[in-house]
Amino acid sequence: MVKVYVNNNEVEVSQDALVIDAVEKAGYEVPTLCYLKGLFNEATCRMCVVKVNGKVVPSCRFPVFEGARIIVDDSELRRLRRVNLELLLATHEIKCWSCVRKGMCELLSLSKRLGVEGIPVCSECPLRGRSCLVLKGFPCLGPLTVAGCDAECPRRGSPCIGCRGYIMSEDVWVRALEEFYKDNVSLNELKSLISFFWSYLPQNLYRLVREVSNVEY
Amino acid sequence: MSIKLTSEVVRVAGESEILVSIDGERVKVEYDSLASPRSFESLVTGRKYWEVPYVVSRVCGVCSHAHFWASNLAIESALGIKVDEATSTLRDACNKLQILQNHVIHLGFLVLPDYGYSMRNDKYVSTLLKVNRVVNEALRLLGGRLTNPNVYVPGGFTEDLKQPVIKRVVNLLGSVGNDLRELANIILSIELPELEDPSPEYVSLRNSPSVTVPVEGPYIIDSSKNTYTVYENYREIFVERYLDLSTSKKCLMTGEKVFHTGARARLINYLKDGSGLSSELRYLIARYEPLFKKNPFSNIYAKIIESLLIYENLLQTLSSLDTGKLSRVRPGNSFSGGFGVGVVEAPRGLLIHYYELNPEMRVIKADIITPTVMFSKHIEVSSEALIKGLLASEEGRDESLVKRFVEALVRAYDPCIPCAVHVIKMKR
Amino acid sequence: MSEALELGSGTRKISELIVRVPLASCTLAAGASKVLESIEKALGKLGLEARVKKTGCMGLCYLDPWIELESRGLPPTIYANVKPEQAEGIIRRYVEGDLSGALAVRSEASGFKGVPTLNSLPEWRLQVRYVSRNCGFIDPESIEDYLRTGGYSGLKKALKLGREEVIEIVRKSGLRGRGGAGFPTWYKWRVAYEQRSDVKYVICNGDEGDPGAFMNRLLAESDPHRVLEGLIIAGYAIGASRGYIFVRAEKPLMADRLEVAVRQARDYGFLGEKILGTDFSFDVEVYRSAGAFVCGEETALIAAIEGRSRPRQRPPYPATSGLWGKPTVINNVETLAHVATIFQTGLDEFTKYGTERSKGTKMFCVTGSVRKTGVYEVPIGTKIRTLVYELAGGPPDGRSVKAVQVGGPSGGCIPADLLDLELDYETLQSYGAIMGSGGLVVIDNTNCMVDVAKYFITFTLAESCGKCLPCRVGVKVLGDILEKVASGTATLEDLELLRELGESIMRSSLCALGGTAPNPVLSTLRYFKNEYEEHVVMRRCPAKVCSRLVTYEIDPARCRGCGQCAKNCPVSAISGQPGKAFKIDTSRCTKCGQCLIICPFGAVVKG
Repeated sequence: MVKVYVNNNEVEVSQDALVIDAVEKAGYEVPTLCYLKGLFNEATCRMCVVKVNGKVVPSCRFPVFEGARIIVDDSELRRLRRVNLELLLATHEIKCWSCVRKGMCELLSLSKRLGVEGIPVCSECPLRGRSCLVLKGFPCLGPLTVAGCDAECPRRGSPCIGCRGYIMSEDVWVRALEEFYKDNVSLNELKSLISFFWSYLPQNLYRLVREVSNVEY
Repeated sequence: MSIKLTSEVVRVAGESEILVSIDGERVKVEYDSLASPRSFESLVTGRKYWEVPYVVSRVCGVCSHAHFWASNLAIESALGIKVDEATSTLRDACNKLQILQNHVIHLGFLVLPDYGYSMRNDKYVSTLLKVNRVVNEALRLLGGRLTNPNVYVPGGFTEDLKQPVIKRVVNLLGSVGNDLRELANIILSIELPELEDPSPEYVSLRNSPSVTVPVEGPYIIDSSKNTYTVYENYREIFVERYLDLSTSKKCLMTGEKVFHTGARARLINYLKDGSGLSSELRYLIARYEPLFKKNPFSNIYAKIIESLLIYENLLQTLSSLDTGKLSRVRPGNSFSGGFGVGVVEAPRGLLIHYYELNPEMRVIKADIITPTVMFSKHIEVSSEALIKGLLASEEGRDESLVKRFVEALVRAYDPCIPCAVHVIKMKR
Repeated sequence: MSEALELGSGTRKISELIVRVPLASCTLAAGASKVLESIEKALGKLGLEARVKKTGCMGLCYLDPWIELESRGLPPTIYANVKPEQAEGIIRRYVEGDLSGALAVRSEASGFKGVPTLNSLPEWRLQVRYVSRNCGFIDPESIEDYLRTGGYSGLKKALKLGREEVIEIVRKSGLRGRGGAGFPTWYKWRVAYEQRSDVKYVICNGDEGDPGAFMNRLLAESDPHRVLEGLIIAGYAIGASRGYIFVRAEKPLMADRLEVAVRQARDYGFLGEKILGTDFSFDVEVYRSAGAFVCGEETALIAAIEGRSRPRQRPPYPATSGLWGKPTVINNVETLAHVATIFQTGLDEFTKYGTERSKGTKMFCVTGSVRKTGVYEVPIGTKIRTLVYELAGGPPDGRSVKAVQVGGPSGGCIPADLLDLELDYETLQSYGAIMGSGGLVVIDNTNCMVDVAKYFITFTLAESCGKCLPCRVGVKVLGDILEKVASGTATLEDLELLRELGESIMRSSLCALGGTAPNPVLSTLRYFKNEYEEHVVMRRCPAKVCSRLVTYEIDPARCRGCGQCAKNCPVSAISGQPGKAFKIDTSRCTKCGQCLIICPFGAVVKG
């Protein structure tokens, strides 16, 4: 058994334990994505980073040692996690509207917890799939609106009107406009709804809408 | 002698100001909104029909359901959509819940402090908060979001309100009956200042605040002496006037009559053929009716009695409601343009929405008359009466006392300033 | 070098001639094999009996291909930049005693017939040839040559000592890893030595991947036995039974020479069962890797030998659990050569060079905008300025040094006003660069620092193995932002993002590749922020490199109207009439720069 200190709390863990075991034993939680206890600990996602004696290490891989001082959360670690998550989402096609993981996705729940931008209301909407409002022909702004309201309007069957503001990522707009809206809703109606709260869209997004709809805006 | 008394009225929804000029015997009161013009009528112009309720429900956070419902009614009647009875009942229930919530908050936090009740008195504050919380939760269950509702569109509800939800609402409401009565006891024990209503004209929708289904035009509006059938002629009955230097308008009845609308008016008119009330309420109304007709301050009594009435009514209608029949009507494809009027009883009184749609179902003209606009002239005339009375007595010497009384009177009306929806027209 | 003179002693005639031709990858690329052919032809034609010796390279790349002639009565003389057709004339004149056209003579005394001695040239005088002492003199494919210069005496000495004593000697020497991080060599050995394991491994890391660094290749191609000897000593010290030399398959000559060396060492009993009569048995295999930059990282290198080349998280460190889970010591080529040399020459010879914290010498490759590109071995702690100006001769005429990129793509840019920094591990680290393998790329004022950062990031991006997130995506995002900066579409917020992202990648990457990848960006951003801001705010590239921010114009005063530019313009943006000044239509110009290259009169100018 070795003694380690997690956020200054003394914990005893076995010799061959990992830092994450010690952290969990002390009652703290580290976000993980790629780690599966006993199956996978290649430490590739870098979400579980903690500080051991001041050095940033992945807790899912790093072994404990006597007297290790582990810090689970501070502003730098949170920033590192957020940046890593943003990087992960940068290559992720955020097409929550057609994703099979109905709101059960760890990636997005973690993103929301760490304050990553660019996650659409669809990620919280229980209507995804066949009963999606856009598929029924409503110009719902769910795919373009910042999540966090628990999809209160689509949840009750009324289209999202974008009161939480638009997602800034151009990619999300391109995908939504070209792959999702285009075949399902009248773009004129969509534009009308966009002007509801977002009269002052940034130039690039504004241009996208105009390109897709080919109508004077 | 000419005195000018200016006071900014706090504890009302929004910002307003009363300007009192006293010149010898002549007393002039000007009641003004300080809110900036909000131009909702032009905001909705050009919008698709189904977007309109979403916009106009944002006129006011306190009575967003009333605006939502009124606009839906107007658009439905323009498009020729008839919704079924259960839908109307549920919408009415939402509106009633909002009236209940508004009354409780207004009485507890805006009025009671005028009569010496401290916010630190946790006995009534906790009761208030409990009622408020329960009503809010019920409203959320039925109407979607608390403010700016989102569960129905012109044509019907967007989600199927299942029976268990209704049952939960009924159960929730059932849990606050005693608290509401307790609150009523407190309110009804207040001693009101004496004041003779200078313009005893009371206007309300017929049968309000009881069940008002089916709700579709034309609307029958009772006043103290007449009965009007209101639809496209609403402008002839409710005449609005622009005032200089103010973003709000003042509204008068035909023949330039100053009138009151709101809880007091509803109760007075309701009693004309009131029926289906419990004996307790019947007694209460009968007891206070003379006071309602006489004293503008009694609006606060009317509010709490109306709350009890609405509470009883909601429990009755909701527990016997069968939501299995909720249907949603979609507008037909062939629409050649038209207009529609929606009139509902908002917490503060009559609310009228008017929309004209083009064949593309887009709004080309919108008009909204809000209750505060209707009774703000009544505030002025009764304030004048109050000040005249005060000046005649000893108390009138004390300027701050006058201020206090006038402010208390204004608050008793429960004016809502965000209702400044019109586009202001500058006259030069 | 007196040893070199004695190489052929014994039965030779007075007039015996020795011709040394360097055959290493670099000189071969410069045409050494053709020179060799022409020398053999010339010798036959002149009827001279001579020994042609194939040696390694001495590291002065700007001299390539050079030859060295030696004959009794004449000093060994070096001729630089020899063309095949010149060979005959050079040999004839040399035999006649005419040393005209020679670069230097290898003589202890003063010059000979107006030819300076090698030691009087600054690029030689300022060097301390410690590990590279044999480079360019001995035949790398001959173990006898190596033995004659004291080869394998270090091994013999080490084998007489106990293992702990060997480690103690390395500890006393203060030798630190020459591969980049500067980790104390003895410490790795000690940890591996203390592990209880029946099988242990030593690996020589010859996977030199930095652009502009080639000292390991040069050392292993010119003096492979020295590396091998160091490896055997390391194997003995930790009690390993097997060693690997990890070489890139892109460097076949290096691998071939090492394989030859291994074979010869086996024949001489330096490898195999019971080496030199002790009970130490050891064998070495040269492992040719497919060549990925990331394999220079020790865990990735181990994984590559095991069959999959991706780094893994440390700990466990290889010294406790490395190749196939066994204790493994991994040392750089140059480190092992140092080990061998230390045991050959004794400690004092090594420790008299260097700084307090880092002893000995280090080979540095100076490339880029300098006159004398090459590998220079200098004591650690030498100033960058000395290396760039005195040894490498400074930038060509009309240019000035803007920055020096130290340590390759993992290193950072040291601006010109910090050239007086001393080259040692700690100093460089505190200024945002790393020693790395020792590559110095000199950047002059015609280079754009954004472009330089972009180049290195593009390199790292291509070489990232993609295992961990920050390196895989983060470096890509860094590249995207740099591209935005270079095309004038970035904002000042992007620069802030660049810094924040870079720092995050450094902190949270799995291996050293990601941990150092943002260095070029961060150091250029630190020292050349105004240049970045100029791109972002003014949409202007001060060095006129970033093509999107540059416009091409034709100077009518210089244009003779030949029409060459118009003919070669791929988008027909240039028009005009022959004999009159042409014009570039900037709206159609794609800024490919063809016209600038083609114009014979220099009339196309960047604006």
